[in-house]
Amino acid sequence: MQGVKSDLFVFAGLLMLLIMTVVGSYWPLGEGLLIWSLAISSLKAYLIIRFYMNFRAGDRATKLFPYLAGVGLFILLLLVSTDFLTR
Amino acid sequence: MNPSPMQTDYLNIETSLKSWLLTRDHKRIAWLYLGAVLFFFVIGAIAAAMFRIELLTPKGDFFSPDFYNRLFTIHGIVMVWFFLVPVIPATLGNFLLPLMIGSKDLAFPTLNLVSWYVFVVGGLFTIWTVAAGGVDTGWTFYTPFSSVYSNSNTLTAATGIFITGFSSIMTGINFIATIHRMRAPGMSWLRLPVFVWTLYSTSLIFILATPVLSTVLILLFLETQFGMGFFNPVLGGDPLLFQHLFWFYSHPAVYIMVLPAMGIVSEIVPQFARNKIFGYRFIVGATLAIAVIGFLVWGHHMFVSGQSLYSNMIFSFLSFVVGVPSAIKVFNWTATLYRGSISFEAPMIYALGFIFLFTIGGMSGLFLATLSIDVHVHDTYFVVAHFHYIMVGGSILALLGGVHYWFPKVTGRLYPERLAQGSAWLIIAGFNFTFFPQFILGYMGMPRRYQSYPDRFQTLNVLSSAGAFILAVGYLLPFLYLTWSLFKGAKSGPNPWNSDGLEWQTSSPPIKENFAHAVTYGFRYLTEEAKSNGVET
Amino acid sequence: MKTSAEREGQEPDIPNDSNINLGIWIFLLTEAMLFGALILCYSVMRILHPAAFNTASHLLDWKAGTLNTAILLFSSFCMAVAVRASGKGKSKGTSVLLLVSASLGILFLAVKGMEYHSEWLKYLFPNDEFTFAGPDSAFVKLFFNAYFILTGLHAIHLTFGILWLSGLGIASWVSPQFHRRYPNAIDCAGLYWHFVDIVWVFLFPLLYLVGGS
Repeated sequence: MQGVKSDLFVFAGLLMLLIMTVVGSYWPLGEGLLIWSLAISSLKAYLIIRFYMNFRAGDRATKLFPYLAGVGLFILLLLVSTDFLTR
Repeated sequence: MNPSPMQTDYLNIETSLKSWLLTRDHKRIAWLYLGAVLFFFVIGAIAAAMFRIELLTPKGDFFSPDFYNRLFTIHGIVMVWFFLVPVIPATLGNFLLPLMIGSKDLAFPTLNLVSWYVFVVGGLFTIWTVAAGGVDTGWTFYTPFSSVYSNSNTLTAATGIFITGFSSIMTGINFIATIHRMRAPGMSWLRLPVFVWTLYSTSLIFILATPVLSTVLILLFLETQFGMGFFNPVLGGDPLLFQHLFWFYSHPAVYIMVLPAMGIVSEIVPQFARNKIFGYRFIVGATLAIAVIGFLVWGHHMFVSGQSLYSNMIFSFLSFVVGVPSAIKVFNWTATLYRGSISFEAPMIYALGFIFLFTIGGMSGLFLATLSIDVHVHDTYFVVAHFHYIMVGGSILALLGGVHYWFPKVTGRLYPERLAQGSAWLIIAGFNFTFFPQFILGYMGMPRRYQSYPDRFQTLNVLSSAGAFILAVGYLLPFLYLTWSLFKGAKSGPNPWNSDGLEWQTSSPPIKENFAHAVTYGFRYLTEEAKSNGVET
Repeated sequence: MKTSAEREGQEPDIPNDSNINLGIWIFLLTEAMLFGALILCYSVMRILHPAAFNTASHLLDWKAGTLNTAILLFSSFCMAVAVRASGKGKSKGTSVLLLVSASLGILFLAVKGMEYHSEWLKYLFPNDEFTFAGPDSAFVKLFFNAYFILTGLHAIHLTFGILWLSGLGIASWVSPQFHRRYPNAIDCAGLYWHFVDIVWVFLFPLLYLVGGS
């Protein structure tokens, strides 16, 4: 089945990203490790949403909500952190 | 109410208790919600009556200070979560949404019923809280007082609110899915009644904000029960973290309370001015803008709590910005009146009262958004007056206006117009006597949540309490005459206001399926709108 | 994919891929905000106590965390294939895949349980017996509070998912027409399952990989 092959590729990709996350923790990144691992997590999340959750097959309504979640979380994290980082 | 064989409607089609308690009909669920929220309104109102009596005299002579704290706390908790947040969406919203879009019911009727039961269970916890002696922390549950030092029933109250939050989320999911998917053919987005747009925006706020409240209540539970420490400076935490999470929900919550009210006003004003609403697209845009920007301003509740100066400045600026879309709406309502043919039935009195009182309340919000002023009036009666102008002068007036306007639709009966008009004026008068003095008191320095006060504040407090009494009488009147009209009112016919709204194009009360035939919306609007906008259906 | 004209005016409460699917996506948004708020709390604590959180993170078993991440990723793969199988009407295949996914979820919980147990034995569970021999033990305790709350809430969500998938797996095995009567059921469960996986994908580096090795 064509579809299963694509799922398999995505899985392989996710595993590789997992390995890269762990490997990255051995590098002297300091604070940069957080950025590295969050970037990889975001990439993994993107792959899961795009391929496993069939994001593209949704219509305008369905697609709105993951974006809205991103916006909501961004606002929460940004404005609260601003307070604690600028004390 | 014995119908002739041709007049079966959603009310008389079956009358057993089971048919009400297990109904999936959105119209009946609206009634279930109405009963529940009215019950809680009475509890909140009694608490207010009690502390307004206490405030007649400068000394604390009726109640102990601790009991006084419990009174204003339960007033806040009940009025916010068990009355204002659910009232318009779950009653008028539930009833009208499918009718306004030409649908048989909501997208998830069973979920709708479940949401009511969840609301009731949450409410039971609140009743338990009251019976057990209440809470003394203020409705805002600030830590570490609530988590470490308070000896009251914080956890039962928090549990009740936590459970009720799920009811909000379910309603939000239901409304959003309904508006996206259940619109009749021809009912495009830009033909939706403004009330529907406000329900949509409110539902977006429900789903984005309420989960954060759930989180903060879970954390409050862990903090109180297990001494976790996130909010306790002694253990390395920060009380402001609680406040950030709390207000991230609670500020958008006030837009939950006001947006549907604005939607009602947007339906009433065009109807009784006999004019199309001015600037429909701007009103829609402003509604969405309020919902979005409303998520960016919560820090204005924390200006003096210890937030960083930069955060203060950012939140102050954004709080000014959020006033703009509200102002746009006020201008549009006013412009709708221009060159209209205006009549002053009760709904219109309420709607015009809303515009006036909401404007005052909103502008006082700008004062509060100004850092240099807020420093002086924070935690005074100025703030209390501000939010009551919006929540009572705004939301409750709109609610009453909507209840009167759609009363014939919901019940098939007319209410007594003269009595309703008189009651509306009484409520507006009582409201202003209650709350305008509080602006002055706050400016003069009277703190909120205080049982006793300096003698020089007494006159204004007596005026305020007297106003509250008038307001109470005003509230009682509609309750009495509307109940009477439910059984004895004159039959209204399907469309007593001669409105163009889709909900009025079916029988009053509606049949269970809402419309006798499948709805296709808009042919008679097609020509006019197509001419003026060049819009394709 | 239905056009909006076809989609408008649909009947309520009939299994309908458009409506229920949309409902689940909206529900997942609420879950995202729930976990997001918790992660925010953790982040703020980490901003306030960077050294202690660094130390505390090293007390976690990163190998177990990595293994668990791989387990969940694989279970997501199985779930995705299960949804495909269900769409093609292969009820037995769907059933097996669902039960495998659920079992992997149970495996995750087992590994997590073993971690919790070893943390308990080291007095790292943040109750009155918490002991940490080092500086800033109060802040290290805060880390463990966050760790147990975040992973605990995640585990509760995972448990619901396991029950959901198991139920569907059994129903699919027993009734070959299941997917025809409830075409959305497996898809919706899949969405939820993938979401729970995504939450863990973020929790793992945030909790286990603070400050590197």
